[in-house]
Amino acid sequence: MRPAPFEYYAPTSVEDALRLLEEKEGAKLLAGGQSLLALMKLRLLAPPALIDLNRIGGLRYVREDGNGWISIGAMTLYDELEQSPLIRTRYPAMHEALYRLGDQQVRNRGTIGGSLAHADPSANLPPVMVALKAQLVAARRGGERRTIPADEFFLDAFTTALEPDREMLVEVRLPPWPPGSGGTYMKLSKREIDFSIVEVAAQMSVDGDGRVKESRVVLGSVATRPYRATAAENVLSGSVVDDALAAKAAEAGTKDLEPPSDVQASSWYRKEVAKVLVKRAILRAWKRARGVEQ
Amino acid sequence: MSEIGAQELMHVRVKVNGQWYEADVEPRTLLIDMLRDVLGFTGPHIGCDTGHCGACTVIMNGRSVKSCMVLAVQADGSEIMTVEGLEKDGKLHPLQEAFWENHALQCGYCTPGQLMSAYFLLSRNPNPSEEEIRKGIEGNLCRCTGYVNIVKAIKAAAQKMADAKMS
Repeated sequence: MRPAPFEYYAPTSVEDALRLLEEKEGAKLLAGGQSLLALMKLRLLAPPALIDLNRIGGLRYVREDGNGWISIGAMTLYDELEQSPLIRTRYPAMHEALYRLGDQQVRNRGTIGGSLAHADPSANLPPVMVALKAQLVAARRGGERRTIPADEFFLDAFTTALEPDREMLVEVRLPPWPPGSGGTYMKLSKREIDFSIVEVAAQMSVDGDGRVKESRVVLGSVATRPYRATAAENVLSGSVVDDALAAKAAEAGTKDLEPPSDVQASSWYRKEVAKVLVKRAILRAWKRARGVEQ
Repeated sequence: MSEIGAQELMHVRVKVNGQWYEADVEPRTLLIDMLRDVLGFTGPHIGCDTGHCGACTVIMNGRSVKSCMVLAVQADGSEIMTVEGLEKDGKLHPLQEAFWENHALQCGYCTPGQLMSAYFLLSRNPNPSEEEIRKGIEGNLCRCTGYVNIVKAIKAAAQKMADAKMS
């Protein structure tokens, strides 16, 4: 099917895009279009206007700031991030999530900003952003910027903290994790290119003896927003991780889950898989933090 | 900045297989529809129309994209290569030869997309492993071959292209 008719705007600056967003009632921002155009073709969405962000310069970059933070422009392609040595070495969890995101053509078109603003509950990147303690930068007219922690960005399915018709995501900022940190991303899906049935991002830092100083365990596809398994994090805190402890953390972290049932998997199955994946992710993240596994 | 009303037509210029073309299209026109119905490039196919099958894959500014997931107006000013652009002076591209020799197609419907995904893969990675080839074509569904011969063909094409470079 073809999309319903819409007006098309291709601004060349963030300021113009925001002005249009405010002026054009019901307008949607078009980034890579790999979700939005699909929804429009199915006529699940029929926005009266599209504001195409692809002609705006200066929103496609990955760079390291002096203080160890990494800044990523919202229109940076998945593929550019997946190929980035900086992302691969500093944030293996994010690299793994990108490697397993869609297929090559989707990665050649889709953008990090588009994915995060779309906030699909089973998308790869949202749990990773929460696990890495990312900061998301929203722009408003007049050059105003607001920073939103990833923890507070995803509110519900397809719903974010961005103010409708007034804000757009322009940058993702990733904080430095100390030496002795590691992370991983794991997902179960029927095929690689499918959305996940369950996905887990785990990130942690350990001391010289391998005791967990800080950890983040975040699940996707099990709730309407990324689910932070704080009970699992509490079990890990201050301890050396072994098989038994990882199992205990996974049990605690998934106990209160009430995942949805759908055509892909039942609620019960998702919960069982979540337990297994959380345990595996904790073990791998810990080994990486210790430097004993790539 | 371009501002185009819903019913208005937008003037689009695209360079397809080395030659510039112009067309007036509605904003909602998909790139694949402009290529096929307006410009006459019927090599890229429409399979699923939902962004899954990859039959409509073309190269846009050096990257493989599904042309059913890009608006024609977004391609304004772009360089596009379709499967028709592989052949040079009546001679098949090494990828096309290798698909032929390795029986990498049966019905042939997915082939234009498979070829363009393979083309992008080899442009970035001239000597891919089997795993890298399988990863490279994961966005292209084939319902006939079981992929085995497609993987073989891409491997063979990589070898042909390396040999051609050496000689």
